[in-house]
Amino acid sequence: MHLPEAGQIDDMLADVGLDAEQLFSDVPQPVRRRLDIPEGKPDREVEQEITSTLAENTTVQERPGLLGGGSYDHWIPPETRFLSTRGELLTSYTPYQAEINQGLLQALFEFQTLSARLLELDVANNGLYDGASAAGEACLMALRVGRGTRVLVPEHLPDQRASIVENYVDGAGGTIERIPTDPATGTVDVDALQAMLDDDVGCVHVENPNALGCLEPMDAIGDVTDDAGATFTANVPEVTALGLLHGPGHHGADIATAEGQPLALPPSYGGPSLGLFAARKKHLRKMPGRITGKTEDEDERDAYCLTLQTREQHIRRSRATSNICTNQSFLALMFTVTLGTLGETGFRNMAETNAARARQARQRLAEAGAEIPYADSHHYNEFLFEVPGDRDLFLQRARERGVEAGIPAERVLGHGHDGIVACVTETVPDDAIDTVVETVQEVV
Amino acid sequence: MPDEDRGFRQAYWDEPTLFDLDEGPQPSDQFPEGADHGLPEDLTREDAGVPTVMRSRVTRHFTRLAQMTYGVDTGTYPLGSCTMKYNAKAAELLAQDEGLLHAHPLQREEDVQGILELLYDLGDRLREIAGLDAVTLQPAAGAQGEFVAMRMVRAYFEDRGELGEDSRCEVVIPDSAHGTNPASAAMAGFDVLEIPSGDDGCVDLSALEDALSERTAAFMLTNPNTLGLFEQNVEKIAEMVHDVGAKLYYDGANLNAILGVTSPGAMGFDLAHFNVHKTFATPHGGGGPGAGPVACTDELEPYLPVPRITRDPEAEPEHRLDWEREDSIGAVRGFHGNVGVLVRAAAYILMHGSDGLADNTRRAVANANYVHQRIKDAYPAPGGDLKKHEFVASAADLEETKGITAKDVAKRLLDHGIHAPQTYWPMVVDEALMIEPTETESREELDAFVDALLSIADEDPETVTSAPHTTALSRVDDVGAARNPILTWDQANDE
Ligand SMILES: Cc1ncc(COP(=O)(O)O)c(C=O)c1O
Repeated sequence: MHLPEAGQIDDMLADVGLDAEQLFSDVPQPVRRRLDIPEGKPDREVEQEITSTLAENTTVQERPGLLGGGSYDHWIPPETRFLSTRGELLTSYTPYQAEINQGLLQALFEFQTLSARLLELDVANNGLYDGASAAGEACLMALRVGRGTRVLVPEHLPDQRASIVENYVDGAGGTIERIPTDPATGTVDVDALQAMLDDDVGCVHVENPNALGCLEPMDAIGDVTDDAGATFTANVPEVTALGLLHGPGHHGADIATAEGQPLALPPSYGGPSLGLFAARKKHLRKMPGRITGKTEDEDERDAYCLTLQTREQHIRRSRATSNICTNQSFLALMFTVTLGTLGETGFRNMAETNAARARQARQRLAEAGAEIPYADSHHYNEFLFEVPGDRDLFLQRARERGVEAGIPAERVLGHGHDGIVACVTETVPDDAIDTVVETVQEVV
Repeated sequence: MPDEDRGFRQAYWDEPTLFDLDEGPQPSDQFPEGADHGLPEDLTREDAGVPTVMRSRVTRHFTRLAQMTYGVDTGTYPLGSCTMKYNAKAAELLAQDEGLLHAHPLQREEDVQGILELLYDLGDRLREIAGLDAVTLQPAAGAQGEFVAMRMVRAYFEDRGELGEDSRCEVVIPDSAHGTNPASAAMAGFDVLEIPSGDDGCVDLSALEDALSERTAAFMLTNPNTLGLFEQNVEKIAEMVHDVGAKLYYDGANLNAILGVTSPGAMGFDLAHFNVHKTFATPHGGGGPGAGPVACTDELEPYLPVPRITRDPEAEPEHRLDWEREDSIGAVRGFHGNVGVLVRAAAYILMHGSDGLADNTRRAVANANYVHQRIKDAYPAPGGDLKKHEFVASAADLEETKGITAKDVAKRLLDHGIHAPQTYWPMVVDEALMIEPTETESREELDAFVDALLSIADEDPETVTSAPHTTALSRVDDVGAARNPILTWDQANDE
């Protein structure tokens, strides 16, 4: 095997006067247990076994289609994948020793800058587990910086993500309530929101674009929330939208988060993922997560190090702003490489391509006879459509033609809806869209 | 400058940030210009603030940054509590498998049987390793695993009508515990009661006795504890905790010390988390991602997060996702967890098997004890002489006699091309240097590490307190960074 022979270990211990037999003499007999899992195998057998198991998946490359719903397949530049094999970065840990980890720290500082710029807020951290848990942390932070315990979230916020927010705020006494959806627009009913607001509302939380694919009336939500003295938090579940759309900060959000996976890694069955997190400067010391700051070394050269650590669990313990320790740094790095490679125009054009292709697909589906429930709302790269007759049968027909026509809406939302959530990114082939359109024509 | 020169010189590049290199928007050759998106101007932004840099320069930028970073692939990384062992490269490549990368989390179960099977099998093995009954793979890291477990404990007591101001509102934690333990318990809604460790560095049974009551929901413990000492009273502790009706939680960060020797279940724990990025060698990625699966007893199983992966060989498809679980705490992160990391862990467990994992543990413990024996005169470690996979040495003597602190020792080690141990934690040891060599260091590497530590103890204090000398930068002013926080390029260039 790849480790020194067992005998060498015994010799090594003997050299310092230790008996190898005694290494576990402190473990009482009654709690001793041997492991009972299959014997180890050589690398090549494990490679074969796992590769063939994973081959049982029908991937979105094998059967392309209109799949989104919180996880997005985009073109990841070859630079990103190539640089992701750099062992110095991949096998390092949280950069406690700044002098020997400047590279990683500088990349994280660049990531913070990108996060703040994209979300249009002042300050950002090294990232959190994913967009959804980052949103949970944002709502918890909102209760910490302001008053109140009620957290208002849209009816169309997917149940899983609402549950995450609930788990994060419950310990602080926070409760979740749903803001009605305007059935005409597929967005927050702002009048209804206004009616729910009172002094006990600590936080209004929305997603933009939302899970129905619609763009929320962010300015209006921001205004009524601000007027009521509550904190406005917003999550961007599909970060490429920010190549084209304003960040939540522009619309008055005090804390904003995003799911960064689309620019870091293919879907990978939902993880790893990356939560971007940014806030107004005045809330800096209430932020969760690792933060990198710029400073100098003894020779007055630019330097970076972890900072504001007195917020964190290893110092503040039960009074920390968050329990997070291990985060998703490597994804933050890959995110930064991707945007660096795309550049301003590349990122913008990528976002435009997404929005334009989705728009065209939407129009074609409507012409083919599909119903587009929120046709008058603005969309980015996702939208809802409905077909006459049995939805599952329609989806199966599309599959038989080799494409996924979308995701049944309740699988995205967790609660009832007749529609199909469709997403068009730049990686969806033209002929896959053609096939979905043809399948609609067939059932109409 | 260094006396004991191993010849290590880290690369230094006076490397500007991407924002300093920004050439301003240039046409892109990857996507068409001006696609007709139809969105109104008031919703769209002028620019996103993404820097534009030649691709060759971008690659050089990150290559240079990599050269100014130190990982396990670079050298010895004895960072205590973090289990910085060699990351299996086969596992790394498997995580890049196209069958995984392009599986979508909302595909139908029929289409993702491969990954569901792999995850189910991994969960099965983790159950066995934990000696417990059920597992969730959802938590993204150890701390999130702790949080899940504490939310489950809450739900459990709530179900029994025992959650209130005077009942089951407290979680008891030793003062040597990792900071995430109290932070997770507090975030889950509990009051935290920290108890002082005994003189031997282990749980003080009388302090525990005093702390436990019908208000206690759980006691959180890692074994071996953060001093690398096995809590020999663990059975008694379990009995005391259970006697007041509370749950016993195992912080799995130190699991690499006990594989094949004992298990959380065997010791009487009700819940446990794994840090797969420690025990199962998935790369730490500069801070993450990791994964923090949680195992529990049948009694607590109904509270596990959704979705649960189920297997029924008679059914079609065989593996399903069960979302309909009334008592579940719900979710703590999106979809199914850090799946790419879990695949690496599954590969590692397959490669090593029962005997391999047990052998790794034995070697990890042997290496820690070897290093401890060799340095204990210069850096005494509190607690008994027998350590597990790690130990906490103290630079207090050096501090007193020569003014050399644990931080100085840490910085000086970097000059030897060796990463520093964990410093100033656990807080119960003065001038703490928490050392965990892991099983993947050879005797030669261990000797080089020991020799470096011993030479530092003998060195002229000035050389040590002014270290490091051979890293990319000299000592970084972290106090200044905290006093005047500059977190973005825009803040740095605003003044
Ligand atoms: C003893 C101990 N407990 C818990 C944790 C938290 O685990 P994670 O960093 O994976 O969240 C750590 C990790 O650093 C640890 O060392």
